Order: sequence, then C-alpha cells, then structure tokens
Amino acid sequence: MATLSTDYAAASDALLAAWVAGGDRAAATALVARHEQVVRSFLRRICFDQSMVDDLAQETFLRLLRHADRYDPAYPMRTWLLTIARRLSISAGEKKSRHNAPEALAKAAKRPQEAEPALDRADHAAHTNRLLNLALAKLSEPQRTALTLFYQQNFSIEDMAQVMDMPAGTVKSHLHRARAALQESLSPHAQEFMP
Amino acid sequence: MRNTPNDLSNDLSNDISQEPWLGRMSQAPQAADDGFVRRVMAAHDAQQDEPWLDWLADNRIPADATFAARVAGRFADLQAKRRVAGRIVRPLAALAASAALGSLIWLAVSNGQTPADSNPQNNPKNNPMVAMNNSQPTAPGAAPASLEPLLIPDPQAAKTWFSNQTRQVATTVNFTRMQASALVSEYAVPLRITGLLMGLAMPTRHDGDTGGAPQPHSHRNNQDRPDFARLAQVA
Repeated sequence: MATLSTDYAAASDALLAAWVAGGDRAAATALVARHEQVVRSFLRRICFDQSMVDDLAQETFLRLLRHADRYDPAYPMRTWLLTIARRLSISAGEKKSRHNAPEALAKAAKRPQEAEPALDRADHAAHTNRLLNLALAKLSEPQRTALTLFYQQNFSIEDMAQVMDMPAGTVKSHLHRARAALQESLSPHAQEFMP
Repeated sequence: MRNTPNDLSNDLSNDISQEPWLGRMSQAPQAADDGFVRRVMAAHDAQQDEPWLDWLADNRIPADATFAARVAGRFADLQAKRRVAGRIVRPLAALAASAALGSLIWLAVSNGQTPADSNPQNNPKNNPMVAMNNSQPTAPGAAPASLEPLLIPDPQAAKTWFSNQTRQVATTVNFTRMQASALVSEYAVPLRITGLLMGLAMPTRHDGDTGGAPQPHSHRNNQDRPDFARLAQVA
C-alpha cells in the first residue's frame, strides 16, 4: 500500500487498481481524479440529458472501484472506463433522452432569433455547444459514440470496436454515416462554429 | 494550435536558406510529393468543411475539484453497507442451504416416504378418513414456517420469496435500487438454487396421494414433476 502522496501521482493505473482492491481510499481518489475529465467529457457528448452526466460518471467510477481487482493491465484503463460509461448511458439515459429530445429541439430552434445580437463569447460557446449536442442527439447511439470516441477521445478503430463491442468495419460505417448526418444538420450553422 | 500546410512550407523555405544541406532533403520525387500535399490538403479542407469536429474534439469540461473525493467517499460508504448487508443475508443463505441438505438426506434415507406413509392405515385406499383429510395439501416433514416457500417446487414462488427477502435487507441498510439490485445478483442466485433444490427434494401431497416415491409415468406425476426448463431459467 502506498504511503506517500507522491506515490499515487506516479503510480500506474494497474498499481492504483491493485491498491483500490486492497481497500486504499486515497488510491481510489487518485484513480478517479486521473480519469474524471475523460469520462465526464465523453458522457457530456453521448448522453443527451446533461443533468445525468454527473450521476452516470459517478456510477461509472463506483463500478470501476468495486471491480478494481478484475482490471486487466493488458488493456488501457480508459477503454474499460468508457465501456462501462457507455453501457450505463445506454441503459439509464437513452430512454430519458428520447423523451426529452423533441422539447429541447424546439427550444433550440427558437434561440438564434432571440439572442443572436447580444451573444458574447461565453454565450456563443454555450450556444454552439448546444447546437452540436442537439445534432448529436439526432444520431443513433452507436453513431454518436463512434464520433465522440474518434474525434474527442482520439481512439483507434480497434479500441473503438472494443468499447462498442462490434466489428471494426461496422464501427467505420457508423463513423462515416455519423459524419454525413452531422454535415447535413450542421452545415446551415457552419459560420457559428468558426473561431 | 494546429499547423496548417502553409505554416509547414514557410518554415521549410526559411530553413533551406540558412542551411543549404536541407535543400537536398527537399529534392523528393515531384509526383510523390504532389500526392502527399494533395492528401494533406484534402484532409485539411475536410476539416474546414466540418468545423464542428473541432468543437467535438474539445474535451475540456469545467473542473469539479470535489468529484474524486466525493466518489471515493461514496465508495467507502457503499462497501460498509455491503458488509452489513452481507452479515444479514449470509446466515439466511446458510440456513436455507442446511435445510436443503437436511431434506436431501431425509429423502435418501426414507426413499421419499414419510413415516406416516409407510403405515398401511394411512393409505387412503385402506382408510376413507385419510382420503378425506388429504383434500388439504400437507407439508411433509417439520420445516420451519419461514422456509415454507422454499419447499414449493414452483420457481416463481421461490423467486418472489427471495426477492422479498432481499428487498427487506436492502431497506434495512438503506440501499438505493441500483445497489439493491447488485446485492440481489450477488446473493439471490445461490439462495434460489438452494430453494429449488429443496423444492425438488420434497414431494408434494395431493388428493389421492398414496405417498411414496413418485411414479415416473403416472398422470399425477407429470403435474408434480418440476419443469426443468423453468428451473434452469430461474437459476
């Protein structure tokens, strides 16, 4: 078990997982802190209901910590975590997202006319992010996940295939269709995405 | 900030004027170079056509300084609750297992007959009073009342009983639904298998039941025989 705080920062994921399995709470904190950004930013894009992001992120890490003894160091921790996060998102969030989507889309459609003249930088970023999230919400779950893993997490096709539990060819196909769908729904707003 | 193809060529021109030997390096076959530049430009243009991909690539999210500590705290809390729940459920499982074992031993020793069954006076064919009394099913042996549902060879009844027990345990230690479901998956399967084993071991009594070991080809027996497909499904 680690005795110095510096041990945790330098320790590999596998070592931290072993310490967590042994009941080390500080190692658990270090492991969560290390991967928190990855999991939350991933969930922010694949989960339509933003109020669920923190709950799902928390549940993802709780599952990781509970089964830390089963971690196989041959695979990156990030792949395992995002696999858990995706499954939780599908089982808990997908249904709710579908119910909320039409209402949110209607709100977003009104927004540009209302607020465009007064948009400052922060508002603009928030608005653009909302547009992107709405466009993502129109995609199927595998398409949304494929885009996020590839462009946000820089995953290889092989790693994506593992997270999504499907053949690499299917992943490529989802990625291709997702890009085309995004192009179709966001090209009228292209100027708003320009820096 | 991402490099553009123009940045790259400007840098290279400056370097060549200062360091002439680098000029040798730039004398690559023209056709191959064209192909490379075309590919780079195509990728660059594609990115320019889809500016939202840059937004998608941005994985910055407002930092939550307390997130990690919160999760670790909740994990420690859950572990403590699971230990408490385990202390409640484990004896229950042990009780069920020992009752199942006892039933099996009893079945093996008595060859499926209770002492009352072996008495000819208790046979409904010989004694009309017994036939009348048998209109109410009687539980064989002296099983504790709380374990009675385990003795019914009905997977659905056993399932309901175990679900209720687990729900009660989960309520006692104030578990959420998700935590309770994790607990169910951990303890319910061995418990349910035990219950089904007991259900198989204990013969049920019906009207006209003469007791004794079940006869394989009788109509009554087809009704009494456990449905193995259903048992497997539940287990």
